[in-house]
Amino acid sequence: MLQEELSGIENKIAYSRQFYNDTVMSYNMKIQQFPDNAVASIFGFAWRDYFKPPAEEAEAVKKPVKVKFD
Amino acid sequence: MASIYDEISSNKRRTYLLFLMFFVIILGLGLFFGYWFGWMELGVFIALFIGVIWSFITYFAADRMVLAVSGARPVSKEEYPHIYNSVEGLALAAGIPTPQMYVIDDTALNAFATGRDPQHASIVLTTGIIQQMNRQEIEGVVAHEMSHIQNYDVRLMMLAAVMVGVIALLADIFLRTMFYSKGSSDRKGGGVIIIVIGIVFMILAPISAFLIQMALSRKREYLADANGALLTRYPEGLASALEKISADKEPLEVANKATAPLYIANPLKNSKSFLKDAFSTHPPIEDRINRLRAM
Repeated sequence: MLQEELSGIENKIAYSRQFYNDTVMSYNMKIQQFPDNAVASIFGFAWRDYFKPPAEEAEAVKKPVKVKFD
Repeated sequence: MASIYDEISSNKRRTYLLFLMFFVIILGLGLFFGYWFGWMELGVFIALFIGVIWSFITYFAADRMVLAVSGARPVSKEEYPHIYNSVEGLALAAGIPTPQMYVIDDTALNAFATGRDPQHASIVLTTGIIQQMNRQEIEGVVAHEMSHIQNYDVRLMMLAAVMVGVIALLADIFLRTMFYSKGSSDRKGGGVIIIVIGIVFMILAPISAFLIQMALSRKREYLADANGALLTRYPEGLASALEKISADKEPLEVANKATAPLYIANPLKNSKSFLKDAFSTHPPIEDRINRLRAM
């Protein structure tokens, strides 16, 4: 049950990141396409970056999370 | 490239078109009915009155009706934690609120989604699917249903079903009334042709509405497969789930003709018929698997 909760939470984090990146991708695509790019440049819609963990956590997110069952 | 947002707006346009067609057909039925009794306004009034009231009721109650007819019961997180987590995760991936979870206690393999928008949506799985499929396959199925909800297929299909129902109901009422009445006497001469056209129209209207519904639902299935694969990033999950579903020969008893288009695969399992292609609610399952594997 606890194991299921943990993997569930991990999946949800991954899915949230995926949703963020998907949204950024379609946003970036939209502001580059005609005719939306004209409106985007007039109103200053800027290019957005994909999700990137902050530098001090970059190493930590690559490793699996340590879990202790006591 | 058509994004999911283009898909949503084109689906909303289709919904308006559907409404327009619906009112033209209803108006036509009403006009003819009025002509038969020599009182145009009355026919149009009755047709619009029944059409509007009935559509309103069904629009807001259809999802609950479908759930009740299918014998679905809500499930708690404690009962199926892994299903619940999959649904919550994929709702995050699709960027919509978590739909309500329901199960049908039946060993047949099937699933469907219903609701009028992503805020009022439900996902239904059979217990057969929960027991016989692994996590990747279940996620594939849930992602397929999730994309039906996300791009407003559930609303379009629900309204199509409502429309077919109302038109069939009105045509039925009018045809029956005509058989038991003589009509007014001031429509002598030249009226025969209009009467014949009217009767043909009344018979054809429900059939054509039904065919539109079928065509719509077949097209939407491919799209939901593709979007579902995009959500899980793993087309093989849904492909092997569809393979298991097509190997399963057990029909789902609680499904009927009206609810069949909602399911992920045709629950009725009726195969041989020369009208099969025009009236089938789902594209051939082998074709869907091949498309998923080719991604």
